[in-house]
Amino acid sequence: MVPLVLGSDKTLASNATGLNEFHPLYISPGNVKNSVRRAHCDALIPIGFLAIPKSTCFGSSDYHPG
Amino acid sequence: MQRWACPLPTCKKACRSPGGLTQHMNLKHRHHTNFGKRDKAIHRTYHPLLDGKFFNAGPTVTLLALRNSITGTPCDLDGYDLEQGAPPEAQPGEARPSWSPFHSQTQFETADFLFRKAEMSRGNIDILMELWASMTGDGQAPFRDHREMLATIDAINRGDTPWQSFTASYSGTRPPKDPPDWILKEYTVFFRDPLAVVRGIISNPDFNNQFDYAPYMEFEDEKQCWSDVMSGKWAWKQAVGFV
Repeated sequence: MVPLVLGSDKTLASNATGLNEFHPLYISPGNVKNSVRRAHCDALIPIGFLAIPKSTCFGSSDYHPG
Repeated sequence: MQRWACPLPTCKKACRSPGGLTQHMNLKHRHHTNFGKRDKAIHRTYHPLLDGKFFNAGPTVTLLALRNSITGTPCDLDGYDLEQGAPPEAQPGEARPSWSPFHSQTQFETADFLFRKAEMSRGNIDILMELWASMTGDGQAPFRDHREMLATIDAINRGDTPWQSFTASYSGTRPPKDPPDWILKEYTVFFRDPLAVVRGIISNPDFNNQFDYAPYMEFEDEKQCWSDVMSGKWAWKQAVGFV
């Protein structure tokens, strides 16, 4: 049994032009002991960089898909 | 008639079914367990349903594989237990470690030193390789020049799972005029195969002895200790849920 722990932190990555921001998404198997997860660079691995759309009108129900 | 006994030494409860035992554990031993006069010592319990006896009632390969995936006991690829203390079976495709794509350990260590540790400039690597070649009988340095070294480093195929990407954009109803910027924009998401990444992590020998193969409950004196993920209620419930 391998439980998977996913996490994302608030660190934003931006490229040189500053146009894009990403949220890193990390994965780690729950079997690895916590002390090792914090210390070993290969225990918690990034698997995604999520794009962050910016808007002031996400709350409007007019634009929700479906 | 077979009974499923509570694993806690102070509890005499025996249940008629595995489900009954799970219910009993959840109901009576959720927070604390009294160990009476036991010395203050760390005591670790695995779920009794994960004991081999339960599954040996009618062992099939599937059941064995299921049990081993929960108990984390060493087994072969078909789920049959390995003899105690036996080394794990070799992974397919990993017959023996090699320095590939490097020709030798020396060639690897030279690249590791120049590229990672010394961070030597390309021009200086070329000079060093020329000097090195002039000193050996056969005129061979570990690398012809910096190009050959970098190409060999790039050819390493171990470790990292490749990154992929896709673009996504809003596809719902658009406002009749002046749609906001985020509706028009395309967004790129970078990702890599989570299964491949996790396989890489759990096959890393660095984590030997730092790895819990099965959920457990740990007690110090009377108190349950919560530490790693596998010591938690969530992991325990998942494993017992399988059974």
